[in-house]
Amino acid sequence: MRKRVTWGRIFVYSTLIVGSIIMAFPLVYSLLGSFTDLKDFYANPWLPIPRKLYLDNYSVMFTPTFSAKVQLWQWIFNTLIRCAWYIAVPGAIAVIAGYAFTRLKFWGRDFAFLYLLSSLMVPGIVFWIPTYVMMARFPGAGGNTWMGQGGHGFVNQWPALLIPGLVNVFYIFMLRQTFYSIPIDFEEAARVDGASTVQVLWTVYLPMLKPVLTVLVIFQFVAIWNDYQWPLIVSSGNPEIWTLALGIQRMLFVGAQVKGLPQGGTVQDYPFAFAMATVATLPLIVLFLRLQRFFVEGVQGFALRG
Amino acid sequence: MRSQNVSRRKFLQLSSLVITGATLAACTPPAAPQASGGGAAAPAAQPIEIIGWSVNGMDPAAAVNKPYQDAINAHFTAKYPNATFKFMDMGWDEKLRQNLVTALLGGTPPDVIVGENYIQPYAEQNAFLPMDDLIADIKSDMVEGTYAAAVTGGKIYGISQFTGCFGFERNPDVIEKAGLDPEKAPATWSELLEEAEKITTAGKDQFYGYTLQGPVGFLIGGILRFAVYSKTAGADLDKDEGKTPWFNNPKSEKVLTFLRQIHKFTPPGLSFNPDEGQVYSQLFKGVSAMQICGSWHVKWAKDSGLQNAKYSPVPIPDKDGIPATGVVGNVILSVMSKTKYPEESLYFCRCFQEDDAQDMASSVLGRLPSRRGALERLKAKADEGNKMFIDLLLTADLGVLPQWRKDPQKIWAVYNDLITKLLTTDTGVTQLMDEAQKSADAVVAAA
Amino acid sequence: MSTTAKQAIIALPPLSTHEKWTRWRYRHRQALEGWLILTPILLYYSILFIFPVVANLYVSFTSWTGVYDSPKWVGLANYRTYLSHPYPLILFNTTLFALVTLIVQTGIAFLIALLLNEKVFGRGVYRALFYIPTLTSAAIMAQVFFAFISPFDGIFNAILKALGQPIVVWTISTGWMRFFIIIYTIWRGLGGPVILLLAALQGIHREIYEAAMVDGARQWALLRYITLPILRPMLIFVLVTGMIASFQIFESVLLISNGGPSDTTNVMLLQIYNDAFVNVRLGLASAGSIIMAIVLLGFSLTNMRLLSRGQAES
Repeated sequence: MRKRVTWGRIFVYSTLIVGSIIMAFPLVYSLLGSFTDLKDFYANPWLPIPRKLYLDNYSVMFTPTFSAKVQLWQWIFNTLIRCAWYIAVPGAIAVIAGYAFTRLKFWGRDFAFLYLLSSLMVPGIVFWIPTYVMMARFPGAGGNTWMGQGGHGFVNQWPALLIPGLVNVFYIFMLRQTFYSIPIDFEEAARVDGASTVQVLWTVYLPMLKPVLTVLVIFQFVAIWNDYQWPLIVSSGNPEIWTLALGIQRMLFVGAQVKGLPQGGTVQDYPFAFAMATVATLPLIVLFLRLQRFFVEGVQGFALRG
Repeated sequence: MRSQNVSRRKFLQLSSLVITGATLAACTPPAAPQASGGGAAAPAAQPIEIIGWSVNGMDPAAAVNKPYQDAINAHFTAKYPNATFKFMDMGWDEKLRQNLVTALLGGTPPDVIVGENYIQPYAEQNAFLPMDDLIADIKSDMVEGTYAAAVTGGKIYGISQFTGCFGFERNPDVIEKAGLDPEKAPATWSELLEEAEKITTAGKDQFYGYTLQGPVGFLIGGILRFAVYSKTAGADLDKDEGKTPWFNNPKSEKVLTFLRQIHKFTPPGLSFNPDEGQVYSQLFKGVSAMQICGSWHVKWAKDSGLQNAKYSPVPIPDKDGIPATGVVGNVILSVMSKTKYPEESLYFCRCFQEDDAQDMASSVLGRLPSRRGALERLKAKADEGNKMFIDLLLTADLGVLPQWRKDPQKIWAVYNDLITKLLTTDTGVTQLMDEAQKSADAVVAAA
Repeated sequence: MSTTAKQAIIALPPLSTHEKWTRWRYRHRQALEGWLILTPILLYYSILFIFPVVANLYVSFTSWTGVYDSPKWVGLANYRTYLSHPYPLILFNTTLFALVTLIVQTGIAFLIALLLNEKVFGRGVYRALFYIPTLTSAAIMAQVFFAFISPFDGIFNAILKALGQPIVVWTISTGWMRFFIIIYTIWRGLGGPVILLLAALQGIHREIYEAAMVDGARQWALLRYITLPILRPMLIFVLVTGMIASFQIFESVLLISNGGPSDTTNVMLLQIYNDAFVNVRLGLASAGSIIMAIVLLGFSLTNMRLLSRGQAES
């Protein structure tokens, strides 16, 4: 079927193209900027156009001076560990809790759900200090006595980056909505065959939850990849366990230092910062493009029932 | 209401107990070697570790600073062979303070910390140890202005690691283009205004007479530079050691009037540009002729391609002017009062005052030393520009920004507001001053 | 359980304790399993979520710098401070940003999703372009916006200059700074709603539309009576989560205007941050977060009620 050019189609394409240009412009700006030296960068206010391809912003990342200060690979590794942990544990908890909140009937269930839901309204900043205190005064950890005194607890240590945030109410909510949309017949059939709750969850529900779990994986991966505030608070003192977002933020402007440019007061190497940011974002973009199709399916899975 | 505090502490302890007992006992790893030591105070033989937050030049990852680190560590271990120093990069300004507040509540503050603009209020709450005894023998050799920001109640709570100050910078090429003598520096405000006007007129939108950094966003650079002019006019921004804002100080009127006039000769839009580096580099690019600058500009100008920049003292009011400037890039070390190793920590801070460390502040870190002896030694081999800054440090009246005791962020917001209105409206100066005073008083009253 | 099995149980002689226990366990299986699952979750949650909130509530009634002092009970004083300048302005800004961002963002996202739902060439590319900003670093992108709005040589003033217009000093203009913050927030946040709404749209079967078109329904009617009702659950989801996010605008303000000029772009979270860490008034900061939570709760409830009422009507 040949498509005719109509005003409607002109509207559709012009809106999409103009919209995409606006969305992409800042990205193009920073990407182009990462290939300029400082002079070219400030030469053109419209768009930093490299007059010659300047790769130093990227190539310095492979120099010893850079790696002495910026443990890029270590930070990427740390971030991946956190991503895996924070996908696996909160994901599993969300599946199990979602099941309990829909498939099991017992006294106090709905009250418990409301109790959990209430935290969604509280701004995150509220948790910073109390959670830090709990980590610092964790009994028996990091030189602390059993009363939690004396040492530094989990501050600047791995457990502090892995303990908070394991119960994610948002995902429990999401999974609960999805469980409601699945007919109960499947479970009943399995139960007749003598399946236990664990078996039911594993063999019956898990395959059906795939789409919504894809959404969870992507949401959580992006969230943990970019998580900055909590690692900043609790791990600033130990670069060994820094995450990529924290490390990159801290090192955005080491460009001048590692390239041997003027140090001091106020001059900041934005092109280098753009290069760092590109490196930090690229894995996410690749991941999104690879999973895009599953992502959309997953969203559909829970969108129409949510 | 002390009891409430105790009960809250207990509450925290108990809750942390519950965590272990109930859910996460398995997570607890064997007690790791501690960073800041634990239990009883260590006897001399036992190795101890001093933790310092964001101490400049001491990051072992910055290999270029190794000579400096070696010198400090050598002095430290000479006296305390069992002690080592551990550097932690806890960020700057707001990030550093966020980390400090959190750590104080969690009971994990460091031994040594870097500070500049919050030492007085914290010291008044006994957060820092006094250092008067520590430096009694060298005090006369230390430039007073470099630790002024750490003095309160007659005691010194921090000493400067290295310093810097403000001077006046000119681009002779631009001045020459306007047909003026590039060698002659303006000494008074009226000379400066006159020159800036001539240059701006001659520039015809290609170049301008002066760069004034306005208050925009979170940049403190503008405020620091206004404070320099205030200092030359003897117009304090505060009463009683920073406790009370004094924005309607009668002496401020001529300062503000001057700022309003000089602003007319700044490239349009530049004064409210949020990118500080770009604001100051316009002089190097020949867009602007004159500005107030920090001592690091000498190197920066050269690196940016302006080889012949001229430096001179900051112009002063025509009458009753005081040759003065402000300290900038001045880094102060303090010792937290709850440290387990007060003796070692205090001595560690003093190591930065040793001659070789002071000399390396310039040769390794590229900053200016804060002791007179070191400044004299440096002056002997310094170039023209640096000499000027050293002379200023040795002779001029050095100002520091007031450290508001109550709601500093809101009081500076009031001051920023005052300057913004000054530069963008035609409202009378005294009226603006009175309005600002009223707002500042309201902030203090509400706190 | 089949009938025969039940009869068999009834027919049995007196039960041993073990059997009684087994039967009790069977009868209460759901409650047992339910609480077995929920107990650790609720315990963890109570310690790491509820405890901070309660502690926060307590601190909000005290005056405390947290340096080496103890919290002093001051009653409602911190909450009263929220009635004096600049706090009402900050609350206003927060609400303004949240509502404008939410409405405009959802509106644009809906339009883009509708367009992408047509048979367009290169749909995946557009979809990716709209989503990628969400993945970028906030700090760096704010820097790019900085460069755009620079009153000295930013792109917008370059355009004005090229047109022979006088330049505008954006950074001291309340209106413009609010505008830029909203634009930046929408730019970074648009991708999520687009992809969610598009996915929901694509899930609607073509046949439904075709059937309606056979009945002679117009485009507008299709949208009003078919698309919107089917999309409602997703719209609720997008609006509620979007609202919670847009009330917590913080980074974009911190990075672009830091609340200036004159607090006219200052928002709750930024002021809470400043009160806690710069002004070291933990009581005031806590009161701010409690107020914030109450406002959010209020808006969420209203939001859900409005939307569910709409559902009942249609």
